[in-house]
Parts: sequence; C-alpha cells; structure tokens
Amino acid sequence: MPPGRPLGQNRPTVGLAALVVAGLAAALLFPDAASAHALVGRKDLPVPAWLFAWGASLVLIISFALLSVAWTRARLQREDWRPLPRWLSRAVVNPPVEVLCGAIGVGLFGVVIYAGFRGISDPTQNFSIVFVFYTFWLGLVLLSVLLGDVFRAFNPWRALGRLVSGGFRLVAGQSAPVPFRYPDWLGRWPAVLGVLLFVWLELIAAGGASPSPHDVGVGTLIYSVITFVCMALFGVEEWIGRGETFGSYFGMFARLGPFEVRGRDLGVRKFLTGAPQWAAVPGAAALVLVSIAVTSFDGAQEGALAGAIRWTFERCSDLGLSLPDSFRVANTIWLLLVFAGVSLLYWLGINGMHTVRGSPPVKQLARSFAHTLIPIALAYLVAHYFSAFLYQEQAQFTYILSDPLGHGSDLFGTAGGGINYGIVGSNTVWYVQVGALVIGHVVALTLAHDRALGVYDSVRNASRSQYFMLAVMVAFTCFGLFLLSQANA
Amino acid sequence: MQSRAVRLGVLAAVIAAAVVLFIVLQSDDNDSNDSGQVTVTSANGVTTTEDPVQRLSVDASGNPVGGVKTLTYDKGDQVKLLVTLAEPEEEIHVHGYDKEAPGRTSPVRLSFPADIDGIFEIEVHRLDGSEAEIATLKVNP
Repeated sequence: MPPGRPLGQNRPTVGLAALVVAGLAAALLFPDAASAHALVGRKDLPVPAWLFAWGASLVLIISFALLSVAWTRARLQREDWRPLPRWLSRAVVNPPVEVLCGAIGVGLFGVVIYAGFRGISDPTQNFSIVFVFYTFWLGLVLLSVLLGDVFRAFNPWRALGRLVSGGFRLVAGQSAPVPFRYPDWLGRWPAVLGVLLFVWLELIAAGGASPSPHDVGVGTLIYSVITFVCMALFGVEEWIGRGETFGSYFGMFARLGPFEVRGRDLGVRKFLTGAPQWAAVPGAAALVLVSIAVTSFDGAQEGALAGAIRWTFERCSDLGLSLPDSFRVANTIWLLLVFAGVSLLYWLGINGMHTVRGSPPVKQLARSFAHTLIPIALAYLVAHYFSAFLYQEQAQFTYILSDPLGHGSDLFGTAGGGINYGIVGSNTVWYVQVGALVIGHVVALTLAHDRALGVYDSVRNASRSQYFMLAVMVAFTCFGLFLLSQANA
Repeated sequence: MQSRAVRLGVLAAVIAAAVVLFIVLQSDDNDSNDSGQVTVTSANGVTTTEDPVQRLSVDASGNPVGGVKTLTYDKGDQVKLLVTLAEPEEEIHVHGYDKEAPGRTSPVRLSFPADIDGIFEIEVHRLDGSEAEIATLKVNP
C-alpha cells in the first residue's frame, strides 16, 4: 500500500466517517435505471497492433536513451517560483475577480443541482451530466495544467464557506471558532475516497445504465453537506486546501504547470519544479495511484477486463442478486482490484528501490516518488478521454448551453447544434493516445531520476535505484498502451 | 557507466526491432478485406464475409436474434441494413451517425455511407421507451 498508516488503525475522524456513511447512503438512494444508454455515440477503435508495437518500442528506446544522457545533479528539487510583474498580479488576483469567479462557481453549482432534479432524465440531453463528467471533471484537469489551480477560484463550496464565515465575522465581531485541527495523518486520504466515490457514481452506481441526472443531483447534495460539515469542523481554507476532493485532485495536476498564486501574487516556476513538493503528505501516493486506477478501470471495463467483469457479474446473479446489483458488485470488486493492482506495481518498484544501498525507509521512499506518477495519470486521462471530451464539449457549447434542462428552450440560439463525430478521425485519436502516453512516460522518468539524485547520496546509487522506477514506468506505459489496443474490442 | 548504458541501449533497440518485425510479419493478412463487402462477427465469434445488404432480425421481445453481431466496414463503404421485426417497434437508431428509421412496419431499411470511423451502436427503440443494442457497427479508417 502507498504511504500513510492503514485507515483502520487510526481513530476514525468525523469527516472520514461522514464520507463513508454518505457513500453508503448514496448507494441505497440511487434508484435502478431502466436501460443501458451510451452517453457517447462513438467509441474509439482499438489502437492497431502495429502502432502498439511502435509505441512500446519507442518507450523502451527513449527510456534507455534518457538513462545514458542523464544528468548527475538534481535540478528540479527546489521550486523556483518567482512573482510576475505586480500590475499583472493585481489584474488577475484581486477581490472583484475573486468574487466574480466564486459567483460563477456557485451559479454553475446551482444549475447542476437544478438540472439534476428538474431537467430531462435523458443523460445526453441534461446539463448536469455533460457538465459534471466532462467539462468539470476532465476540462478542469486540462485547465489546471495550463493555467494553475483555477478550481480554487471557482470552487463553489469555498465561495459559500467564505461567505458564511464572512457573515459570521460581521455579526459576531470575531472569526468563527474552528473546533478541530485537521489531523496531519489524514493528508490526502479523504480525496482518495472522494475520487473513488465520484467514479463509482459515474460508472457503477446506475447498475449498468448511464448515470442519471437525478443521481448526480443527489450526489452533489450529499457531497455538499459533507463539505460544509467538514469546513465547519476544520476551517474553510484548511478543509478546501487539504481534504476537499476536487481541490486536491485538480491541484495535483496544477503542480505540473508553471503558474501558481501565492498570497496575492501570481507567479511562474521553472518547468516541473512544482511537482516534487506536492508528495510530502500522507495519502499523496494513494491519490495519484487512484487516479491512474480509475482511468484504467474505465478503459478496461469495455476491453481488457470485459470478460472478467462479465464472469463476476454472472456469479453474482447466480447468487440471487438482481441484475443491477450484480453489475454494481462485480464492477466495484474490479475497480478495487485495479486499484490494488496499480498500487502493488508501485509498491514492488519502491521495494526494489529499497534494496539499493543508502535508501530511506520504504514508507518515506513511497512518498518521495509519488509525484513522479502525476504525468502518467495525466497521460492516461488524455489517452482515454481525448475523443469523448471533444465530442461532449461540442454538446456542452451547443444544445446543452441553450437548453440545459432539455425542455426545449433556446437561450443562446445554439439549441439546434449537435455533435459532429467526424471532427477527429481514428488515426488522429490513435496518435494523440500513444503520443500522450509516451510523453507522460518521459516526463515521469525525468521527475523520478531527478528525485533519485536528491534522495541518494551518490549518483551511482541513484542510477541503480532508477532501474526499478524505470521498470515501474515502462510497465505503466505499456499497460496503458495495452488497454488502448484492447479498448472496445 | 557510459558503456553499460550504450550496451543497454543496443539491447533495447534490438528488442524493439524484433517486436516491430514480428508485428509487421504478423499483420499481413489484415488488409485483405475487399471494398464493398462486409465482415460479420457473430456473438459466438464466427466470422463470415457476406453480400452488402446486411440482414438483422429482432424477436418479439425486442431483442436481436442470435445475439449482438459486429458489422465491420471500411470508411467510405455503403452501409445497407435490412432489419426484420417480429413486433412493431418505435425505431431503429444508429448512434453517432444519428440515422433512424421508423419501426412500425417490418422490414426496416437503412442505407448510408460509412463516412465516420469508430465503433457505434445500432439500437432498437421499443414502443415502451426502452432500448436494446441489436448490432455493433465498426468502421475502420
């Protein structure tokens, strides 16, 4: 397992217990959906065997080429953040902009809930589904890498939390008391659980159908209650910065990009120097591993794992479970197994590295290298969702924009638009998929090699330790390529 | 260190070359599909090459007879479907292409050029509002 103590050994805290209870409650609340319906009209063809071979070969050649030209002094371990010109900072980071962004975030949050409960039940026509699972969940990853942690500015829970605590200050004349200190050991673990539950809602909760807008509305409300309770217990900025799922998840990807706001200053940092500091928190490795695992699971469920899931599904229904419940149980088991498998691979690599002379303890080692997998998590996302994202964003900015509830309105005159599935051909999709994995691999290796130089006292030991990380990275990248070659097959 | 890296690099290149060669030699028989013919893979894995008009049938409970078949075309081919329905249905719908034909009378004919590559579901939309996949349309680039 990744670093941090196993959850069971710790005193359960209110926040975590609430998350678990809410997850179980959500499981009971979700109604059985009527029938399967593909959310995206076109699925990608599997990557052909020749491209798979080229991709895998390229990965091996690049890996060894990198080793042979590798640098011998750590270059990325110190974060070289420096502020941009003052006028630029003031133009981007100022109270009116903060209020505006918060208001936009809260507005979109309101539309998601309203569309969830009052909108059309067809998921392809409802704002809540397209926005939450594509524009928000995937689009913000992209924006975070390019522009920094923009979600922090738009985070509706943070905006509402600040509004309430501001109101409290105004009335009571003092800041609201914070009953608990956020425990350090909790680290990024709430976000790990949150990502699992979010993807469970997207892929599994509906029992074989597409997620229904109603489910998304209920899920959003439950998550909001948990977030408000935790903000009240631990403090608004404390919970948003450390425990809140989406902030932690998007913030992880923002560490790959150049931009970051500190205090009231917008600044840039040297390429790739943002990631190393990110990992020094319990649960960081688990968060990046769970990100890789959920994307792998989604890619594998209709390809490489389809047979295994089908088999488990049939065993469950033999036991007398209803079909939707069999689907839920079988897919939940395999989601957790994929998470376990991905974690095992990392754990093996870390233990291999630990055999090198001068290694820190396994737990510290696991945490030290967690950030090196962020580029791989990003590459997996691009590879698996690139085409679906292009299609769904066409929907988002045409008919979903003008008719968010699916009731026939035409707010901006774009309700007649549709998705052009011919916008990218299979060849383009394949090259983007393989290219993303190869680039992610190179960046991951770069981060790992540099970290090793910072962790080990001699270049020789650092290089030795990297044979193990190299094996882990090659395994992840080739596994990603394999999933693509088996996709929808 | 340097010579070792070079050795490893050469080893990797040799492995890579071997893999590529293996795949290239393997995939010779992949492109023998004549234009205008459709390759059908039935649910039990049997592959046949048939005439251009593809026949599908839907039973009285609105499910495909013989399971969900995969119809494989090359981009640019003409897709011609003839769907026999045991009972009246709402419509036959091809996802992605968004082609649909009413299913009140049997058989239902659909004909359109395969101009988008990818994998698409062909569905029957039943009168009670439910739907089921009756075939998978696979268009290779």
